[in-house]
Amino acid sequence: MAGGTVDSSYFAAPLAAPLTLTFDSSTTTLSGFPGGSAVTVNAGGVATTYAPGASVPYTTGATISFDGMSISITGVPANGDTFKVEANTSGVGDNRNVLSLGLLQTTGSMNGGTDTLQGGYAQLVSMIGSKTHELDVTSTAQTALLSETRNNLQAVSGVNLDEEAANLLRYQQAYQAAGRVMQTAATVFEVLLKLG
Amino acid sequence: MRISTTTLFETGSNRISDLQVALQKTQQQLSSGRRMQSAADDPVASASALEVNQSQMLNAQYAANRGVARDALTLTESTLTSVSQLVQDARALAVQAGNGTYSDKDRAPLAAELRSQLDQLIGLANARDGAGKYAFAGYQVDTVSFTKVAGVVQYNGDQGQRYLQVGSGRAMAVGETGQGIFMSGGQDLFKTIGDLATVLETPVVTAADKTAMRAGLDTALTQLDRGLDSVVTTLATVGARMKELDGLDNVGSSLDVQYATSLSKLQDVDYAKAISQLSQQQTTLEAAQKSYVKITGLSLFNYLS
Repeated sequence: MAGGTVDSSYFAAPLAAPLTLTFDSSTTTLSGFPGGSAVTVNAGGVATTYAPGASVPYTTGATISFDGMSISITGVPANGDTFKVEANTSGVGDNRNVLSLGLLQTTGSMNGGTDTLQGGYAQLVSMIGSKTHELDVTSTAQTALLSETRNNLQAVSGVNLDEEAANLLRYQQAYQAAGRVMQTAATVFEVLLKLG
Repeated sequence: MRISTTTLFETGSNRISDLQVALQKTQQQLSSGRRMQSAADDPVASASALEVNQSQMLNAQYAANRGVARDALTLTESTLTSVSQLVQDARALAVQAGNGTYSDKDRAPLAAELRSQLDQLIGLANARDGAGKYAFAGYQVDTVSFTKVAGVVQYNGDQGQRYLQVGSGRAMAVGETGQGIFMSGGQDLFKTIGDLATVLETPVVTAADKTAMRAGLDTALTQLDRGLDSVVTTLATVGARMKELDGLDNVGSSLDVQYATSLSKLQDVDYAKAISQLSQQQTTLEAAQKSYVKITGLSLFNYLS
């Protein structure tokens, strides 16, 4: 009899006391299953369910399931052989759960069972990376647009210091010229007065 | 088109700032050895690198598991080799005891030797691994595998077989159940050797006694052969598994190299390229800085005084 397994439904009604299954060679059946439970025997991929209380035929190597527990018995039992189903309290070396836990790493559990945990994470990283990249590109484009617009605005309304300097020179010289005109006029006027 | 003085200064300093950002990025690539500083630099490669990285880690873990599996199998192998030697010795004793000229006195030391071999066998069957766990007790690694109760050796473990994940798709059995080796297929090595000793200890007086002893010896020989078969079969599977581990190690090492190459391709910086890029960016920045100073220094006001 190999190490049994339990599924999630087992924990709703765990085995309260050890269960003893007895083999009857005259009918090749097993008895001793819990009275209120249906028993499913899976032999070579063919599952047959027996109603509670019905006699359960023995097949070597078949998986016998009831109350969320699965066991399998191999070999040719003698009449009256008993098989005890109970919690393996001192089975501290039983690492089957840890093995299953380890397999989670490589089993598809994300995106509807198509991806591993790491695959799901990588996809998230890739998506966020793409979005960030997209934003980088958008940001660069928008910055270029802003700078181009600012340049255009500045081209129209901005101050160019050389231009101002040139204007300054122009106005200064015009002013000086005007001054010189005034001065000349004053001189002319003065000469005229002296004549008289 | 006219350029405002603000534009002149802004464009110049913006360009210098851009160049500095690029230069800093190249510098970071060089100092970290990584091509990508964030997932945004290359989202596809970043995701692939994560996957490859995990595969590499898993591969390393499998290699560690194989080490543990090899330790366990080596212990099983050396123990079982001793057991098979012991069974062969016991068989030799049985053959020797069948010598027709032997008297009770001659058989007594043989029986004594068998008794001590029985104790030795129990000791071997109670082998413990490096962590002090019983190797032949199934899942019940903290339970003494075999104990002698009222002269009868009984198995205290269970039928669980421990597995280790030694490859991506391979969980290998590393623990044997003592019952499967020492007490299966219609034989019980402990009982056989104990019974053999009892046969040899029984005084032979009458012809019937002699026949009984002969029968006892025959049974013992048959049972010892069966026991030896069981031990040798297990030894063979252990050897096969150890050979498989060597094969998996080879695959694991080449996979590791392959993963490292892939990772390097995905995320390592091309130094030659990066260094030449750095010097090119440096030259550009220097030119930008020099021309900036020159251009911004140009002003009509310099000529006015």
